[in-house]
Amino acid sequence: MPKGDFIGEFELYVLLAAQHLGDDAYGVTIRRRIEDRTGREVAVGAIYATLGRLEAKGLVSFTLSDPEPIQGGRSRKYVHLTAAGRRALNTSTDAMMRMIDARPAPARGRTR
Amino acid sequence: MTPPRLWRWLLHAAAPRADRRFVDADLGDEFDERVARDGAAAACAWYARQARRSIGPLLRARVTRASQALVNLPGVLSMRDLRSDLLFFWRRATRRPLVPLIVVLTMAVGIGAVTAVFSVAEVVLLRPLPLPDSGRIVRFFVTIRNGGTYPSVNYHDFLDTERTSQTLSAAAAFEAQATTWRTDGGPEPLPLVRVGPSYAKVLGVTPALGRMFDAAEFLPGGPPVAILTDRFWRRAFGGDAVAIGRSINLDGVQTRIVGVLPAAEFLFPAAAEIWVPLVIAPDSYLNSRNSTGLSALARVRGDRSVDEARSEIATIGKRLAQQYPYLSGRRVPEIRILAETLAAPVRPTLLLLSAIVVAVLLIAATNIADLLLSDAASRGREFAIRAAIGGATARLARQIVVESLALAAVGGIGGALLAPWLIQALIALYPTPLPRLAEVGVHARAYGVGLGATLIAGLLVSVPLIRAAGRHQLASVLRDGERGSSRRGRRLTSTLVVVEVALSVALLAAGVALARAFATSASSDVGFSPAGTLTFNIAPSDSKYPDSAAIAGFYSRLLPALRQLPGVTAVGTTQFLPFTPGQWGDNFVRVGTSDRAPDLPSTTIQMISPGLPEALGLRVVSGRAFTAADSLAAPRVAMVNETLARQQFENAPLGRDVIFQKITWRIVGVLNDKRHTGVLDPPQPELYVPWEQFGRYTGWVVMRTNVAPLSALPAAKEVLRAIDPTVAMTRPGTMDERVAAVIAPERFRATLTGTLGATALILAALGLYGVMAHAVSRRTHEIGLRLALGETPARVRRRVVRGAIALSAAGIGVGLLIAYWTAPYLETFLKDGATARDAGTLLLVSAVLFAVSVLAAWIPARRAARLDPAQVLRSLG
Repeated sequence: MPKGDFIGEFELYVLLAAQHLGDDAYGVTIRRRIEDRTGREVAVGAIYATLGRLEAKGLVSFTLSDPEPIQGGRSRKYVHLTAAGRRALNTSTDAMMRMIDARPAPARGRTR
Repeated sequence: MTPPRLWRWLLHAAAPRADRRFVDADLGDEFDERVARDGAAAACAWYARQARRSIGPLLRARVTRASQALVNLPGVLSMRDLRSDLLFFWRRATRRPLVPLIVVLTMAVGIGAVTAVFSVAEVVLLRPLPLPDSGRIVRFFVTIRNGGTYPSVNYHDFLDTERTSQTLSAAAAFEAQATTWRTDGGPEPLPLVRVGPSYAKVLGVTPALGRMFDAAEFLPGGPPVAILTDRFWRRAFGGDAVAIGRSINLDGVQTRIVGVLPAAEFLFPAAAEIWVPLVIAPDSYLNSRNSTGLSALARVRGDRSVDEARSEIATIGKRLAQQYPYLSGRRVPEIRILAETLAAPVRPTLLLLSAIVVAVLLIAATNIADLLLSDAASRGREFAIRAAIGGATARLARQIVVESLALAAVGGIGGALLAPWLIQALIALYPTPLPRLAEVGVHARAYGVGLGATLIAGLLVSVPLIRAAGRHQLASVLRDGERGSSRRGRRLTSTLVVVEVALSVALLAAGVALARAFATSASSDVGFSPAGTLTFNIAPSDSKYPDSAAIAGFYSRLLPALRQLPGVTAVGTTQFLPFTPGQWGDNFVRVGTSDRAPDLPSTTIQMISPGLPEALGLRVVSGRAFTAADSLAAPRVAMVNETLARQQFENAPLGRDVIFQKITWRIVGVLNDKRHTGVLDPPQPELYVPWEQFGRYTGWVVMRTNVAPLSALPAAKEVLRAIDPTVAMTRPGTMDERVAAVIAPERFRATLTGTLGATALILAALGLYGVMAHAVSRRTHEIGLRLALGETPARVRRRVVRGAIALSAAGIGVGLLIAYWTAPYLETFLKDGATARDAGTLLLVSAVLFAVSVLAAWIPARRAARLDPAQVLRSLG
């Protein structure tokens, strides 16, 4: 994870959704997952803007699918968490849990 | 049911290119679901909401990404990588040198031409004269009633103006002439200028050695003195200060040198080698209110503007007209800025040349872009692989910019090396003498322009390449070879071809119009027969031949001796030769009419010897020509040309008397009209008088020969030397050469524009061929299929040719617009109100372009039609 970068709330949602969805993570499914869980409507543009940012930080990567084998089938941009993305997600969720539980951070966390 | 179109379009515009189709697809999928579930209205409302809320984040993301690219720029520009980029480029260039070589050569010529033309145009048209505050130096002009405008003044008008003016800090009359410098090596013609007392002050110069003239030296009978230009001083005295106080022999008069002018890039008049005082003798023809034979310069005061001076000169002119009623309205004085009067004659052609050079550069740039694009197409794999193994787009773009700039830099260096030669070529090819050539050279500012052109060319060329490289998506290129992803590249090459076709239409149209103008001039009947005519100028000195009898004696020995030379059939003299600078005009009174000053008819006046009509090939229309009997002792006689006879004598001039220069002349003959100033200029009214009776004897000898005229020149020189070795023969040449010289600017313009038009045509044809050949090879499969499915070869051929015609039609359309729009500028060069918007010309050029396009497309079309469907289909499997 790039030094000094915190993951924003919405970025965290997107990463969590992608992690949960696994191989089926792409624009539509990520958006629906967040909408279902938070009960808020999410703009598709926000999803793609955030994905672009996460890619720039090296936390996610994309693969393009072949078009679906039906008339007018579209190709999709699937989202994968990179190793750095998984690490960042763990760090962030750990930190958040500790904040909620008021547990102290492990020693290495402070030196970073 | 489709999503709201406006919102969809806005989303499309806001999204980064890479995400566009996914954003669109995601929303489209759910929109369809919602239409089915909630109905169209609700779905549309949802879509609009989604779009509205998406635009902000998408745009912000793009801005962030762009700014990050800027933050990364230092890394992109690091020197270490630069070296590896250059090395990579060098290896590529040396392995396949043809394309880089052509690019560099094209750029060198383009940049060199721009640098060269700018070097000349900058000096001639833009740079101030290299004299102190030169924008304030003005020259006097006068407009003569029924005459024209000349760069001259009346001496007394000038003195009055100098005395009363409040806006001029100095004014000086001058007269540019030539004298004969007698050296031990023989006579040598020497251009000089007779200057008034304030001349140096007007120009803002002071002698580097010695002094200016003092007051006594301007008085009639004063001591003969001269000031040398630095150039002449170095030539005659090797730059030795002992020259001051020494004498030189000017036309038989020992003239003491009192000063040397500073070494200057420019003095006026540029040709003058020495300055002598302007002495106006009381009995000189200049010393009257009538003649306007002098020139004059002035310097506008530092606290007044040139416009103020201009209106003051007009006011003084009106006051003089009131003071001397017989002059009223006969002449109107004005002043013009000296630098502008020098640039005026060459400005239009030089501007045309600049426009043409820009066109050359455009064509060159088009070709380079074309070449590099097709080169880039074959580099698709390289780009794709580099991108695949992690080469950032910025690095790729950088590589391309580095390569383009490297090419441009080498081209620019080549251009800089070429520029001095191109300048020399331009000066040599330029049809008329260019002013201020001493200052012309490639200097810092011209190199600056060359550098700018280099940079712009380099960057411009790299833009389409970067866009082309950006398209090379790994997957498609690696899978499909090089067929896949170049629609934009094709569009770009097509655009370039359209540009080339347009430029060639415009240049060819201009070329044809200018060639027509030249053809009209070249075939013009000038009224005399230039072929077989040898001419040269002589000026026997006043000191050696002080009176008319003496000078008449000189000519009565010279002319018959020349006539005796083998091959010579007639010999005559005239003071003013056609198509050669210099003529003289005056008002005259027709005896027996109500002619009263100031409203008098005017005419040009020529002093000729009896042999001139035969020597020049003029025809006696009625009456008689002059004979040897029309001597000083005989009654004064004159001849007129047809125009003057028609204008002033109702075509019955014989026997009429005219008065000019206070002498009465009887008209005894009519000569046919000839053209004097230009081959298409209408004949001027001309009055001829025998020069023996008029008493002025410097001028031109005209010899008609039945051999090659120049072959008679050595013998003529020998004759002259035998009769008087002190008389120098100057400006020898044939009349044919003089006619050629006077139409040379037209020939130059027509040749230049036509050649470039033809070049552009060839390039456009090659471009068209390239585009069509590429299209055919790319569509081999499609064409093979069509043929297999029964399309006839003829239809395939037609399809290809139709593609080329579409491109060339677009180019022709644009070209015709350019031609139409630039026509008024071109018409400066056409005579008699001829139009450059001539429908025939434009039609002809369009037809040529059309034919060439069809021809260029024919070869690829035939190849397409001859494809073997079976083979094509096999290669598909």
